[in-house]
Amino acid sequence: MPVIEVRDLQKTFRVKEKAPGLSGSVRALFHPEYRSVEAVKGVTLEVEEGEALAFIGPNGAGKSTTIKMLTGILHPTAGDATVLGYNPWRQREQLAFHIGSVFGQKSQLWYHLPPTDTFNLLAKIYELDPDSYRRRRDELVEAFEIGDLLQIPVRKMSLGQRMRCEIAASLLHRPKVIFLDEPTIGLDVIAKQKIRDLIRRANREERTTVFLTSHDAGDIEQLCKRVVIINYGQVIYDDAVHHLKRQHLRTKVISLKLADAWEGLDLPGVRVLKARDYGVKLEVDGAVAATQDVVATLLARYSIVDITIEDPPMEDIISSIFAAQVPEEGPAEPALAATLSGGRQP
Amino acid sequence: MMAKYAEVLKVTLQNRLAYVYDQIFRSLGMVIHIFIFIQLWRVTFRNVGGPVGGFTLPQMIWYLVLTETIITSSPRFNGRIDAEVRAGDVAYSLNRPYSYLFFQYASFLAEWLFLLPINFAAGAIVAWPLVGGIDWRPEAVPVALLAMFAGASIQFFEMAAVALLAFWLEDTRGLWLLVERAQWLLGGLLLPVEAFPGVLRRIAEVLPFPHVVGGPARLAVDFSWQAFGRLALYQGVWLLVFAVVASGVFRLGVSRINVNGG
Repeated sequence: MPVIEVRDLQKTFRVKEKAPGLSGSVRALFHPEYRSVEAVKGVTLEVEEGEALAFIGPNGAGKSTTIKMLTGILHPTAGDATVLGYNPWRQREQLAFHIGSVFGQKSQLWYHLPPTDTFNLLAKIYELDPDSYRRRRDELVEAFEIGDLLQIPVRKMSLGQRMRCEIAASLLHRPKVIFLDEPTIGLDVIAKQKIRDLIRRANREERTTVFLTSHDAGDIEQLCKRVVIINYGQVIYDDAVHHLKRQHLRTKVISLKLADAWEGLDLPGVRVLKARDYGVKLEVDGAVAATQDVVATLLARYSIVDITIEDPPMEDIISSIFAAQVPEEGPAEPALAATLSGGRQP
Repeated sequence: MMAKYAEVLKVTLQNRLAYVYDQIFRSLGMVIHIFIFIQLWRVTFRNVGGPVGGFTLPQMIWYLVLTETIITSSPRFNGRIDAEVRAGDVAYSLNRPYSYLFFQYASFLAEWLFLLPINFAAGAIVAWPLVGGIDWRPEAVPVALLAMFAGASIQFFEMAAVALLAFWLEDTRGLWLLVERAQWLLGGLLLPVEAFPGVLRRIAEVLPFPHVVGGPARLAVDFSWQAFGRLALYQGVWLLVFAVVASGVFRLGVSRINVNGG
């Protein structure tokens, strides 16, 4: 049974425009001019109970606007949506008791206080029964391994520690759906992995529906089974993550700092993206060469000072989806973009 | 329902206690302020040769300590609300089961409770040795505190109503500055409204300002149940007016909210 149903959701912002210079400023005082920006142009999708959905797209694609409409923050210009049977913008307060949200760049923890104070406050805000709150808090403290952090002011925590507390805070009231907006932004590899494990656990063990946005391909690969890509306010891809991975996420980018000068590497499936005397960036096509074999060859041939292995940026994945499906002669028009959707046509 | 806002008040107070020494240091500015005004009022009383606005010199100084305390203990939430609206941060509180306005009000009251004793102590440590005490009526203290609480509440909703205009205006801080200056001048910060010349006094009395600043202070130093009744009536009306206006502005603003990003 779908917990999120979205039908032709649209949002148009009115943006004030001003001509440059003093005269433009004066004119704008008396004759303000507005431009309409269509941030979301008719998104349609369904999310099943217990599903972990990655809702991704480049900056300005409309994903945060969509999330804000689904959590009742924004009123849409047109279209309809229900989350857990509630209309988010008309029944915002009732819905708020059943959903959780984590905005990676907007903390809900009180900066100068230990997390336990925020937890107590949230328990009151969500009107939790004291006994069930205490049981739930202890459960999360154990699962998230934050027992040592409970009494430390948030300002003294690392970002990874803070995010663990953030997610625990957002799960206190046992939300049925959790909206995660860039939950791993700015974290190191180990902290990212920890956060992913915790989100996965909430999804699998408690059947919390996860609605995730992230620019990190690792988040999507490890947490979600389905991916919806939005660009220019429209869904351009809706399919299983393993399909996306097979089709568009098969490359890895290896960045190296060398002790010796770069002398090239001739291996099938390896492309040099950028090379300087002691630094090089390579792209490995996973369909042709295994990343570990390429690294082994590099280690055997060069003295390596530093190495990083990354997924291609989300923007590149989206470009590759366009490149694979848009005819060379024409730009991706909205109507055309709609035809790019994968398994589930919106 | 009220438990959540009581918890907000408690948590804000805890948060504010992290800055207690910083605040004590800041409040020392009031010591200098009161000291200078004691010297000025001494000269004025000597020249007048009798009460001013119905007040003796000690009453006038304690009135001043209280009005200064009221003004300096009112946290500037207009700046915070204005910034939250302009940055779009107000939106993040909309998907939580509480009222944004009451959440801010509870935080405001916590900060007010934190600042009030510190600022009063800073004024009192100068006034007490230099002009001595006055004959406080025992009922005056709790009743005046109640009036100060009502005044602070009016001040909050007044501030919120102005700051929430940030949904439409680029910056509301300039507008609040005007309101604040009017409050200082017409609210009886330096001189009780009763000592104002005729027309000015009549204008001031129908405005909300003296019921926030001078009214509660006067009640403390020159208590009467009649004055309290009159003040409570004005405060009730203004509180209702600003609470309704602030809620209305908020509702209108939220319906056209535009959040940055997307």
